[in-house]
Amino acid sequence: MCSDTLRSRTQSVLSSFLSGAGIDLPKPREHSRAAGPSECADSPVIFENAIHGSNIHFVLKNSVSPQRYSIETMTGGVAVFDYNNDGLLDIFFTNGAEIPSLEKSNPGFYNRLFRNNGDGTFTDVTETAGLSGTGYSMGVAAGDYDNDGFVDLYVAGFNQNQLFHNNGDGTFTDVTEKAGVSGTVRQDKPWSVAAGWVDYNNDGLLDLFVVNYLDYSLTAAHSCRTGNTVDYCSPNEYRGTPNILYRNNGDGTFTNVSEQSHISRYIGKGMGLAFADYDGDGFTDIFISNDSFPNFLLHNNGDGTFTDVALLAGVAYNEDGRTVAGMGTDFRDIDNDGWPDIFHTAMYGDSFPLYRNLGNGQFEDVTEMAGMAAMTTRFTAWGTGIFDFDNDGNKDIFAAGSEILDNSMEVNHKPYPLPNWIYHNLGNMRFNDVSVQEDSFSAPAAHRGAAFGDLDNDGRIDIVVTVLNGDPQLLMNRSPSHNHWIILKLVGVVDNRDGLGTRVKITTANGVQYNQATTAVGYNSSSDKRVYFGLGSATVVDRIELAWPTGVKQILRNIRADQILTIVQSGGHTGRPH
Amino acid sequence: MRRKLLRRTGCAGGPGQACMMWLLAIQLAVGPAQHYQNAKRDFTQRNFSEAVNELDAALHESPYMVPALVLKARLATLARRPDVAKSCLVTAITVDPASEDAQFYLGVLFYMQNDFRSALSPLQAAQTLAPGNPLPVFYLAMTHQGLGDEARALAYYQQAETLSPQKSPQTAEILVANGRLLLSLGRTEDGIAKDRLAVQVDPKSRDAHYELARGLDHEGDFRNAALEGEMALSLPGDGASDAQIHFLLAALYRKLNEPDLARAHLEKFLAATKAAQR
Repeated sequence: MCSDTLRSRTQSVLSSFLSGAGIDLPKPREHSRAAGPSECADSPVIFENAIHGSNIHFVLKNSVSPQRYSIETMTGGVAVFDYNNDGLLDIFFTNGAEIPSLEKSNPGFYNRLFRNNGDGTFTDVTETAGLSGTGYSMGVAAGDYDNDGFVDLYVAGFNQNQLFHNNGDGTFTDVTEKAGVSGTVRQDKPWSVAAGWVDYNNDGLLDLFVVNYLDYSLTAAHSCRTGNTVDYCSPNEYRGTPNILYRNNGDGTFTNVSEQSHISRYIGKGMGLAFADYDGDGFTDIFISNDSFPNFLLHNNGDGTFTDVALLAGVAYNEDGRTVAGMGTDFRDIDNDGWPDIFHTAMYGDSFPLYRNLGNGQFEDVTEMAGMAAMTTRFTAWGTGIFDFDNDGNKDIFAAGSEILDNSMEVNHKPYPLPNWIYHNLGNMRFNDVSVQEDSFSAPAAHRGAAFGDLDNDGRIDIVVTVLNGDPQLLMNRSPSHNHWIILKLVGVVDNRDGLGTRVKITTANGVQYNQATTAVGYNSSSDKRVYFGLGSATVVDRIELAWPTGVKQILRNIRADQILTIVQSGGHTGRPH
Repeated sequence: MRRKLLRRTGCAGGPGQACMMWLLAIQLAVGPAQHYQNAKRDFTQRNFSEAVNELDAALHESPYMVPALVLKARLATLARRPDVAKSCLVTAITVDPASEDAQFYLGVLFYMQNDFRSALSPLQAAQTLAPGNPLPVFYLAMTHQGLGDEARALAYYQQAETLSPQKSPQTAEILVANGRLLLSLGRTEDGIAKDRLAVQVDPKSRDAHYELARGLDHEGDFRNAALEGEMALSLPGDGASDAQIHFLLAALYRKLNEPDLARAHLEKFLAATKAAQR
């Protein structure tokens, strides 16, 4: 949440006050590097905040206290998923609770589900669905864990984690205890920030990974101050906690395999979670961005165990050998070379690191070379995602900005609300900031989580962003480009029903692209499970190659562009209904 | 100081009437200017608490003595009392708006607090008052960098470089800062050129060698980058840390397919990181 980079820079500059006392001149090592005005004023990426008129009435409440408990600045998850299988993405928001009771003491604290009516409006169905939740909620993960064709929800929180089974009739049932996924460890409930669904053992069932943050309780928490101002403590004030891996038993229950999988050996301060098979060995690996602590890249050994290889792979620290305040993350192939790359947001002074996968188990920090350092060092961001917003065939990057401290102007002269940013991929591993556009997109706010998906099925990826103590943003993609696209809805048969973990390669007249199915994207949040490709000028996809997690390969040829294509897994049969 | 004088005058055991007369005479003789000079000397010798005492004595007798106010502000900054520092500097500027030092240090104080907008005005005033001094220009460069105006920052870096003495550590610092900004903008060749110049200007600059190593790494010249990194490691300095340099060298030796060296530097990086955490 807070790194020490500001202090480092300040200390170096202190030497100027010592000149004449036998000390050298200032050394601006940790200088804020900044982006200039957008180089791409005629940006083809346009978003409209359509929250007003959408009938989404929701305020993310964090119950700011005079003590400034750390949990207050950390909530704000959002999921986009189709809970009723009507082909339209619905929206679920997590919410805080009263402090110090940590109870959702009134409906203002409820988590909320909004059904997409298909006409730009939404209907609040929270209470019918039974999703109001309990406790101080943080993150959310959407996935069909029982392969019944209806997407379920896991809500991660400070004092309560909950698994909601989708009954298929518009209602959900809290099955947390029965399923054994309460997130408790030896009677303690660690602070969970995020979660994600992944089939780590390729058995066709989605397993659950829970990201835990600090060893923190309201009763033991102490106040932190800058001068006379109380502010949120640095994570350095508290120990980290181990994450949790639950293996899906296939009967509605899960087994905590954190120890036998070696997950519990790695104690961090997790914030962001993303999955990808970074080394192409057929097993999905896990990246966790930690807060002011070395990141984890948990290599899936294929035998039910994981090994943290982040240090040797080059993604534990930034190029300067420093930890950064890792926030949200995404893990996708940015340069279409077949190897998933890693991006995560961070705190001002850090830059938002971009690690290019070299394909040999190694990553290279290309933050500076890609131009990201200059564009991001002055800022802090939370939610993020790697998606092709203009469908030109190159995946771009979104970041939801906000400082961490709500009194940051008072504490360090940094404005608390910040804009959203779009970094446009120029196709040569260089990016441009094309964020300057209409006010509702770039207006500063206390952004937190962001979820991605095509809410109106027009082939352009939209974004839902949460705002602390404010209305969420419904950022509808209105980019005027004539580029073509294809969206793949995967239906696993032998594999998990959502097809999560499936690697997809497409070939068009414009070249080759790679992506994968995942819902674990960004910060606190869960994105559409469908796989998106921008096709540029190509009107036909010559070839679609799918590598399902269980090893099933599938090829489709000569597919027309500009459609949402449902692909049912071939090469296996389980008798499950589609 | 006063105790020393009392001892010298033989009054250390407790001032009697004669001693009181002596003390009064001595105080009148020392005066605020002498206290200030004593403070400067103590500051240079890093006897900071003595310097503070001398400054308090000077300012007690002459509350609007601008050089004393500036020095007190510098000491207050070191003592992490920016409120006191700001108060001293504002007073100094009120008394003498033409005090280059007061304007400069107020600008630096704002800069240190990330209050870049407030830093601009006093730094510009300092630059106007002393157009030949590279320091206000250097800080203006860094301040504009902090504000996200990289074009102006680069222009100010260039100006600071021009104003700086040909071969000095100060010039090297300016070049290194400039090179780092250029690297962050993806202008690798330009950054390397600045870093090479910094190494020429001050061959003993640890930072210059480190930044040159980073630039050469970006350019793909891993062998020379490793040489520069090793050179940086051999030099003293409080810029790039040992951990940072070991981390860079580990990556470079990995790229050079020298796994033993890579491993050795990675282990040293981890050891240095752990030591820093302690």
